[in-house]
Parts: sequence; C-alpha cells; structure tokens
Amino acid sequence: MKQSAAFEILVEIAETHNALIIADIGSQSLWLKAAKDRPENLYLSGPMGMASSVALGVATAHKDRAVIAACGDGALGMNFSSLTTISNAAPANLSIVVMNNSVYEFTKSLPTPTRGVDWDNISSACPGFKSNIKLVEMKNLDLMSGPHFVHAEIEPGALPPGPGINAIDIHHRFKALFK
Amino acid sequence: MIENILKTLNEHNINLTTGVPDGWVVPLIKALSEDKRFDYIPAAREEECFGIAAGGAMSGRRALVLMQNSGFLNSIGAFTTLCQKYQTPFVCLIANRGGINDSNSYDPNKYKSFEATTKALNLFAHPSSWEDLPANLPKAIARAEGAGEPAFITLSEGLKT
Repeated sequence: MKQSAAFEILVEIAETHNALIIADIGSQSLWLKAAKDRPENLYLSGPMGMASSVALGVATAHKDRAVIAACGDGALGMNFSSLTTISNAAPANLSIVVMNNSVYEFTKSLPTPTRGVDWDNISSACPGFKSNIKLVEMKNLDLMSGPHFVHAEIEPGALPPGPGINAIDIHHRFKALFK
Repeated sequence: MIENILKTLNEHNINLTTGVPDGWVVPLIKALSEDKRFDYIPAAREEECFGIAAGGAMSGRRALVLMQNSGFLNSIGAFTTLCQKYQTPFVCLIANRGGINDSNSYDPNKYKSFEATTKALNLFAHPSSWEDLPANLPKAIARAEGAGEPAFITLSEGLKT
C-alpha cells in the first residue's frame, strides 16, 4: 500500500469517529495534509518522533475525544520509550499508528534501524495496549476502548508536496477546536 | 506546603502534569499522582514530557512538567523544535542540581550546563524557593501564556518534609 492510500484510509476512519490526528515530521504530516486538510490535524514539522507524546498529552487533556498519532517507523524509533509511557498511562482514547516503510523517506531512503522491530507484537512488550492490529482492521475498531497500536505496512515512494502552513498557525487552528 | 501547591495548581487549572522523577520533587510527584484532581503521567524520558505538555497546551489545557536539570539537557532538540517553534505555553519545574545547596560530586556539570544552556537559548528561568512556589506558579503560567513560551522555575534544593 502506498502511504497516500494509507492516509486516505486513516482520514476516513478519523472522520467517522470525529478523531484528532497528530502527525510526525517526515512524510506523515505531508501525506496527511495531502489526504485531507482538517482543523483536527496537528502537523508536527520540527520535532522528529514527538507525535506519540504530543498525542498522549492531547488524549489525556480530552478524554472524551478519540486521538490518533500517525508516526513514521523511523520517527517512532527515535521516541520508542513513549510506547512504554503510553502503555503505562493507558489512555482509552489513544491509538498509535506506525506507518512502516522501513526507510527514512526524507533522507534519501536510507534504511531505518527499526526495520527489525515486530510491530505486530508491540502489545506483548507493552501490555497496556489493548489491541495490536493492521490498518485495515482499524475500520471496525472502537477508538475509545484503547489504547490501540496499529501497524500500517507501506511502500517507500515519492515525497509529498510541502505543507504550506506554519507551525504557529497549526497550533492555533488546532487549539480553536477546544474553545 | 504540598497542599498549598496543589491548591494553587488546581485553582489555576493546571491539571495536566507529567515528569521524570528527581528526588527533590518526589513528594510533589507522589501528591499529584494520588490526587484525582490531576492527571500525572510518568514519562520514561524527559523529552516525552515536553511533547505531552505541548499537546496539552496546543489543545487549550494548562500543564506542569517536573524534571531534573539534566532532563532538560536531554531534551533540547525536542524543546526547541516543538515548544519554541510552536510557541506552547506551560510551566516546567526544574530540580536544578549541582548548585550551592548540592554537594553531590556527580551534579555540578548538570548545573553548569543547564545555566549555560538556558542563557544561550535566552530562556525564561526563575529561581524559586519551595515556600514561594504557590505565589510563583500562577505568575509563571501567566508569563508563559503572555510570552507564548514555556516558563521555567528552578529549585536549588529538595522539599524538606
């Protein structure tokens, strides 16, 4: 599956559940915006690997709202410890999705050191995750009965267009949802 | 003392809290963990705390981070590219190890590096006693929100219980 197709599926799921999506730097923020730009999207364009932690903060602050973190496998590898933190905190409204192409797409597609990780068994090591499923199975998931860990196997491919929106505007557009 | 701090935090809607333990702030972490008015998220690594607090701030919630000065040093990349770039206001309480009250041989480098780094980055870091915390916390969150950046409060010793 191409990453663009994976994000089209993810956006459809998010819209069904009125879910917020926090996307990592790397190609995730850009493919998310290309799939559909929504105020419910929080694009991270500087801090690699922080989407899972930012999503944990949003999910804890808004327990009545489904929150999805869209992480690259390279990015999540940079903040792998966040999976233990999330497993321990176990927010029911949080889903972590790893977009796994096993390369740093923005860095001339060098292989990621996370390519040996068994993303289908994260919940074995981090038992706070209530499910560990593939992206296509996420369509039938109750996003408020997590936390969930979702593995999306994607192909490396061409880079998406730039986001065309700056960080401070992203912040305030997102915050306006909660006023 | 702890009760006053919790009362102040709650009165000012600073209910999202996260941290990595330092011995000096353990009594406060325990109190936050046991008090249902607060969410305390124990983080495995300090840069996660900046992500969690930034997530709270960008969704309209006030947050408090607790960590040792060395934890900030671990997290400068995430701090600058997330908290500074996205202008996320929250309060960060730092156990500023290695200063005048700390004779541990393994702490002075943390102090020197923290002082040098916060000056180099031109960060707002205000020293406080534990006694003054209830007065300083509301000022710090107001300052953070006014400036559009995190406010640091540094402690030079542990809470005497």
